[in-house]
Order: sequence, then C-alpha cells, then structure tokens
Amino acid sequence: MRSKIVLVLLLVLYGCSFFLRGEDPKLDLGDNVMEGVFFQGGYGMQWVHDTAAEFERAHPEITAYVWGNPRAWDQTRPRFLSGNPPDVFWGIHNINFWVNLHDGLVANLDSLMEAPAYGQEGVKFRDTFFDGTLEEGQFEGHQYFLPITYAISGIWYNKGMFDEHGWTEPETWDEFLALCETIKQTGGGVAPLTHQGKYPSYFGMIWRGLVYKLGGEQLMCDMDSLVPGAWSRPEILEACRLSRQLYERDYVLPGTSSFSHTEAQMIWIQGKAAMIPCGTWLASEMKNALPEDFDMRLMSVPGFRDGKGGIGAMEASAGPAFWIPVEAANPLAGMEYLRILLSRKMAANFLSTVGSVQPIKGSTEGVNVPPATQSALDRIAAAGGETFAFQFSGWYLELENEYRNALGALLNDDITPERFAARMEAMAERLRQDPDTIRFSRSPRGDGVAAL
Amino acid sequence: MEDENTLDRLFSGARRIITQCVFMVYGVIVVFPMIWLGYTAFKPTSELFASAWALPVEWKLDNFVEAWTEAQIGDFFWNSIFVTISTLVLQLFLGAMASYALAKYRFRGQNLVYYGFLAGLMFPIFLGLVPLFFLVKTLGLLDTHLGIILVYAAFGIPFTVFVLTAFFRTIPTTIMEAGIMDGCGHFTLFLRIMLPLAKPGLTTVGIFTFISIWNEYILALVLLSSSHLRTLPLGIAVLQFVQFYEVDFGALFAGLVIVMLPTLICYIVLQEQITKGITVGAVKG
Amino acid sequence: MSLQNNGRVALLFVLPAFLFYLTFLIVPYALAFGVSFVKWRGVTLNMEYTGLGNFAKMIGDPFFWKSLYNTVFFTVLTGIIVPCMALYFAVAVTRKLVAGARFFRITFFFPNLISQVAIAVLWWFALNPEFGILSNFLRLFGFTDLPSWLGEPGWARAAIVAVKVWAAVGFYMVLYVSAIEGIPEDYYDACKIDGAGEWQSFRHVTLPLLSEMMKVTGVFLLLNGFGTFDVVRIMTDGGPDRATETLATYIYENAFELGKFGYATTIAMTLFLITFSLAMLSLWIQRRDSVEY
Repeated sequence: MRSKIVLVLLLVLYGCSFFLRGEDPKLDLGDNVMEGVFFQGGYGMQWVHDTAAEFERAHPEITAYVWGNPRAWDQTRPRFLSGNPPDVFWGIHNINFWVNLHDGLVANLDSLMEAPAYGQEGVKFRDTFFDGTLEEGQFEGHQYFLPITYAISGIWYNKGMFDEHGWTEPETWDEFLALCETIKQTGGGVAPLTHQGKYPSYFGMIWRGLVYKLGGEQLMCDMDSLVPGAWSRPEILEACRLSRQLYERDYVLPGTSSFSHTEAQMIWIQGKAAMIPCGTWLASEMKNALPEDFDMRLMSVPGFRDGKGGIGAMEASAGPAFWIPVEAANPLAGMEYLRILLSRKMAANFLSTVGSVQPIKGSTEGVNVPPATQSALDRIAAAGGETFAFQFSGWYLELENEYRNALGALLNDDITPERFAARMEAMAERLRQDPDTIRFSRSPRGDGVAAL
Repeated sequence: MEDENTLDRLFSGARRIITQCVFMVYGVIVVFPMIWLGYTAFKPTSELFASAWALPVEWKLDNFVEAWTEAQIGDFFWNSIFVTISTLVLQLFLGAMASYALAKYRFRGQNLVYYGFLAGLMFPIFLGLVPLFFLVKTLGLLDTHLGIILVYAAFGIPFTVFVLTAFFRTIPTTIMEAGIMDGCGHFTLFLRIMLPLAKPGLTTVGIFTFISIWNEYILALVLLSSSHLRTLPLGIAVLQFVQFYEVDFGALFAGLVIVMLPTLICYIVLQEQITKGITVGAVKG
Repeated sequence: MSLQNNGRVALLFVLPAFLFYLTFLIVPYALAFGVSFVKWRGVTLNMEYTGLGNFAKMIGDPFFWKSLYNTVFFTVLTGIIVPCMALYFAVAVTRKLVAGARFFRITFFFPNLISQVAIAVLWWFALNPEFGILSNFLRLFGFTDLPSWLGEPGWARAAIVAVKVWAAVGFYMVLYVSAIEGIPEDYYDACKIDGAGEWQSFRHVTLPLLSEMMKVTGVFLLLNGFGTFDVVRIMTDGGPDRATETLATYIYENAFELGKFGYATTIAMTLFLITFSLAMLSLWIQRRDSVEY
C-alpha cells in the first residue's frame, strides 16, 4: 500500500517535472556577443555586470553576456577542450595559469597594452597600472595575464581592542613578541594570534615577511628562481625558528591548526584572538559576519633593524587573473571588456562596491576608501613604497604544496627548521631535474620574469 | 558448557543494559548531527558562530528563501526529479533484462559478461571523465538531460546487475517453465511473470539508485553546463563554494536540508520494502 | 533445460544493457587506459607518448607511497570496525536483545541517505575545536586542553576513520539484519533445546550462516575504502602534511590542480588494478569455498 502511494507520488512529481524543469531562458543575445566567465567569490558579481553595462554603452552593437561560478574553471574546462571557450576568463580554482600558457591556450595581450586607456586622453593602457604590477602576468617580456586586485598582506588587528588595552603596533620582531606577551598576560583570555591553520599558506604571510626582512630581495629572487641552496640559507632557518617561537611561548590560540580560513577569521572577529595574518580581501570575505563598528587595521609583518629587507616593507601582489583564450570567438571584444574593466572609472566603481583596490592609478581618488583598505595603503606609503611579492607559489605549484605541508608540520612541531629546509631543498631539486617543469627566474632589480 | 551457561545467565541482565546503552548512545551520535543540521539551517550565520548548540532565537525561513531563490534551487529540484526518475526507469528496465538472462539462461561468454559488468563497480569515476566528455560530445548529447540520463543509467547498470542477478537466481526455474507451458513468449514471460516477482529486488536497486543519482555531482558538473539544466547537487555546490569566500553557512545548511529531505522521506516510508529487498539482493551476491 | 539454453534469446536480453555499458563505461575507460602512457595536461589535445615513464615516475614518488599507505590504513581499519559494529547491532536487533529495535533499525540507516559531501561538511563543522559539537560536549565535562581534531595527524586520521564508519555502519547493519532474518528460527530453537545461551547460538548458528554475507560485504568495504575521496577532500584536504592523503585525493591533486592528467591517470589505473584484483580474488575465493560446502 505504502509503496503504491510512493509510486503514485513519484509519478505525479515526474509528471510535474516535465513542466517545471528549468527552462532555457533563450537569451536573445543577437549575433554579436562577447561572453565573459568569472570566478564568483568574495567580490560578488556586481562589478562584472556594471562593467558589462558600461561595455554595452560604449559598444551598443555588441551584447556583453557575463556570468560567474565559484568553480568557473572546472565548469568551463570542457569548453576549452572542445575549442569553444568564452572571450574573457577568470578562474582561480585548480587552474594553473602557466601550464595553460605553455599549452597555448592564452592569447598575447601586447597590442591591448599599447591601446589608449579607456576614458583617459593620451594615456596608454599599459601606463595606467601601478608601477611593477604588470610583471606578474608577463612571460618572456610579453603580457598574457592582467591583475584583478592589488592585494596587500600583513597582520590584521582590531583597533577597538588595541585602543581599549592601550596596545600599539610593533615595528620589530622583539616588540612584536613583547606585545604578544602583554596580550597573553593582560588580555583577559584573548590569545595574541590565530591563523588559518588548515591552509598553512596564510601563516606563510608571516613566514615570508620574516624571510624577506631577514634576507632581502636577493634571497626572495633566489628562492623563486630555485637557486640551489636558496631554500636552506640561514635566514630561512631563522624565520622557521622565529615562527616556532610563537607556539613555544603559547601565543597561538589552541585549536588553530585545524581552522579553515573563514573559521579562523570568525574567531578573530569574535575577539578570541587579537591578531591574524591575511590580505586586504579579508573585509569583503567576512562582510556578512562583521559587526557594524568593527574597525580593523593592517600592520606590517615585524622586521629587524639590521635586516636586509626594509623593516616596514609590505607584501603586495597583483597576481595573474584575467586572460583571453586563444580560441575565443571574439577575442578583440574580450580585450575591449578588459580595457573597460581596468579603466579608472570601473576601478573606482570596484573600490566603492567591493572595497578592494585595483592597481589602476588614480582609481582611489574621490572614492570613499574603507578604513581597513586605507590602513593597508598607508602602510605601503609609510614603508616608502617598498613592497615585495614571492612568485614561487604561482610558478611551481608542487613547491607551493610542499611548502604548505612542511610549514604546517613545522608549526605543529612535527619537523624541525632544518628538516623544513631539507624538504624544500629536495622539492626544489626535484623540480630542477624535472624536464616537464617550466622554469622561471628573476633578479633583484625588478627585471621581472624571464624564462630560463 | 555448564559454566558458560551459568555465566551467560549471570551476565545476561547486565549485558542487556549495556547493549541498550550502546544503542542509545549510537542513536544519538547518528541522529543528533542531523537534527542539529536541521535547526541550524534556521539560524543566521552569526548566531551559528556565537553558539553552536543553541536553538535559533527566531525560527526564520530566510536561509531557505535565499537558497530557493538566489541559488535557483527551485529549478534544480525539478531538474533533479526529472533526471533521477528517468534514469531509474531506464536503468531498472535494462538492468533487469540483462540480470534475468544472466541468471536464468545459459549462453557462451556468460561469465565474461557477468564479471565484465561487475568490473564496472570498481571504476573510479573521474578516471574516465574527460574521455566520457568527448564521447558524449561526439554523440551530440552534451549539455542535455538526455545525455546525462543515458550516462547515469549506464553507470548504474553494474550495481543493478550485481543485485538483480542474485535475485533472479532465487526464483525457481519451474515458474519459468510453467509460463512457457501457458504459451508465453520469452519477453512476455519476463515482463508478466518474472519482473513482478522481482519487485523487492527492484525496490532495493531503485532506492539506492535514487539516492546516488539524487546526490551525484561530478558527472553532472562536467556534462551539464547551462544553468537551467543543472541538478540539485550542483546548486548545493555553488552554495558550498560561495561560503568559502563569503561566510554564509546558513544558506548552505538550508540547501543541505532541501537535498536531504526527499531521500529521508522516501526511506522512512519504504523502509520495510528496502530491508526485504536488500536481503535477497546481497545474500546471494 | 532447452528453455535455459536458448542463447539467442538470452543475448537479446543482455545486449541493450551491455551496449550501454560498453559505450559509456568501457570505451571511456579504455581511452583512459591509453592516457596512462602519455604526458597530458588535460586542457588541449596535445599529448606526448612516454611509454612506461609515468609508471617509473610513480614508483619514485614518495607521495604516491604515502597515499597508498594511508589508503590501505583507512581500508583495513574501516574493514574491521564496520563489520564488527554492524554485526553487533544486527544481532542485538534481530535477537531482540534491545528495546526499540525497529526504531534503531530505521535511524541507524540514515547516514546512508545523505551524500558523502554533505556528511563531510556536517562532520567538518561538528569537529571544529571552537564551535563544533564534540569539543563543546567534552567541555561540559570539564575537559579543557582539547586537541584540534582535524589539525593533528593522529587525530585527523582517527576522525576520517570515525566518519567513514559513521557513514557506513547502518548499511551493513541492514544487510546483516536481513541475512539473520533469513536464518530459520528452528536452528535457534534447536540451540536452545541444547541449552545454549545467546553467545553460543551466535557462535554456532549466526556466524557460520553469515559467512557468505561477510564475504560480500568484505568486497563492498574494499571498494569503499580504496575509493575514499569526498570525506578526506572536504574535512582535511589530505592534510595535515599529507597525513590523510589517499590515492583518490592524490589523483585529484595531480589531475585537476597540477594539470598532470597523464600521470594522474597512471595512478588511477594502478588504483583500479589493485582494487579490481583484490575484489576478484575475494570473489573467487568465495566461489571456491561455496563449492566446497
């Protein structure tokens, strides 16, 4: 009896499904379409649609069809395989930009860079970017990828909490340790630090800061270039020991090693820990959880008076994001979309809707920059503009994976600093020996990226 | 023997209590997380983080509304119903035919075919993903419900054959012979006599197929790209990945509840049939 | 007899299903077999033949061995714990050793109705050291210095096993329950007349008559263990420091993150061959044994 009822019910549902199934919206897009596919995440999709509207105002004959998905790359990969990709693309998950470039999927953007900037008289598109932010998307001197944001990383703190206790931003590592001790003693149960332990690359912001400030630009470039021995230099060991110190002195909130990024950030917002490493996307990522009056500020990773890198230098990167698929049906329209997206007008719109800075000159003028973002920009100004950005994560994913794992193990006290260095050296050696790995190198004068 | 028996009686009371306790504890471990998920889906995210245990301050449907509208769960729900039931019918019919022949007839290469089917239980799905994509594309079935239904049915055949072959083996051959005596053709015999007898087996396979298709994600991701064709798990995945960048557990949990309810209800209503069916299916496997 | 020897009719019955199976499973997997001998990034059709190069690379890859070890570890542990628990529950339920047997029979099966993804998300949240159910529960009893369950190698591995067990026990319990219910009551009555208690009837009646079922479930558990993916992927992502990395997650990492489809397919092929031969071996042993009965 029951099974009959279920059977009938299923039949009725099945019958309904014929009519209620999702219908093809049959978008009448016309013949001239520009399709853009974007990663849908913390930045939302509004800025993509705003740009599409601007694009259609400038080019009424073309329809801008843009959409997003959190797994944009997984979802469109089949279309790349079958030679039917969109005209402009940004995906972040599981995507390896340099492998795609190597496989001939990515169009050369040199001509776009020479084009005039959108909405600005007499300026080339190339010259509208912050200095040094285009290099990360270049290979052998040609432009292939364009950045979406200018992400500045460091250690965040809750200004309200700091003011209440009279705590101040430390400059050197010793001052930082002293601050941690004070917080531990007088914070009323607040842990000095937490981090996104499930993904150790977040703690990497502190570790990389230490490495840069100890070893300077030369060491950073050698590490990125896989110079033999670079990953086991004394500065590396020292950065590992200093990182461990935070654990040995109980400055890290218990349980941290299993927190995902959102969990750790939530805990920090709730005031269970005073500080957390992250980038400038933190505010938009956590916007649903941030109390109205939450005032967060970014500090530089503490440095050393006798270090080779500037004491207040900031990690800032404009990593590769947007690209034009070679097989796109309408690549020129895709480039035009990017030219508009990265114009001063749309970058200002991005800043005011999303709250993050795009590396476009003048885009912060006349816009109400959120205090959190402003504090990050101020830190760069205070450091005299000294910024750094490691490249190995994007260049060598296997090295990055091993780095995360080894760093996690180091923080967990499963391995020693020496073992950490040995593991990284071994992975670097494996990559040097691997004929399939695309090699990159860089040198300190900001020459940027060149293939070996 | 004598000693063991005395011990047995001595401990039987204590054993009963212990067993009862174990069952109750495990029952809580099984049921509580689901109840927790159920009421947590009514909480806004900030409340969830403030106190994981507490009941919602207000029972609000915001999360469900958000999931239903923003994540298009409404469309996806019906897509899932359509795909799942179509697959079910096709797979059960084809699978039952094959199982019947494998169980009740003798022919050359029978074992090869049988083990060939069973091998399909062991294929890791994403191993064949990309070639499968090209195949479906060549057949012109990419990004259609028909395409994914055919693929699902094919992927479900090994399990169907595994269970139903064992099932048909338990049906006495004399019934077949009687049918033939009555002048049935082979196909009529199958359709009129054997298939109804296999109902418990079909129910079991049907339920398990329903559960697995209802929850299937990877194949759907690769074979369906238009958003109006997507199934529920794809919609849930979007919610799940979005919470990665924009903390919104509320909508995710609401989505999970929407996905879980139909299978739970089906099971509770049909559970006797299922247990009956499972017996015959697996014992003789 | 002639009825059952009608090969042509049988073929007509088998053919539709087999063609389906051939087209959508065998063909793609045969193609995949070819992919294990090439270098391929999976984004274009450029492939480069490497012969056994991928296999050589695999043998020299420490992460492959680590994931293989972990996979075996999870499979063996769940393969022991799940049948024991399921059997205990099944016996108690069928032999009426517990009140509310029907209720438990229904509820213990619940986890099998939910997708692995949902289970993983649920437990990942429940095991959070700060907000999770488990930590908060233990705190009620005054435990303070709690580990971060998924952040420490030992606990993380234990958690994966526990969640896999949680997800599986109900299914196997139902299987055993139905098998036990298939045992004629006379056997137990005979036992009782002999003066045997519950333990003896379990040892002398239930267990021997369940051996067939135990072997079948053994194969299921094997397949399930070697395929461990969703739970690990979501709860620990293979970490910390690859302590929970399984072959399936390592394949995924290589194919979809590192863009090494050829190499990933090689590992997948190896995984398939291992599972396939183990399953076939146990099915063969089972067949041989049942002939001897």
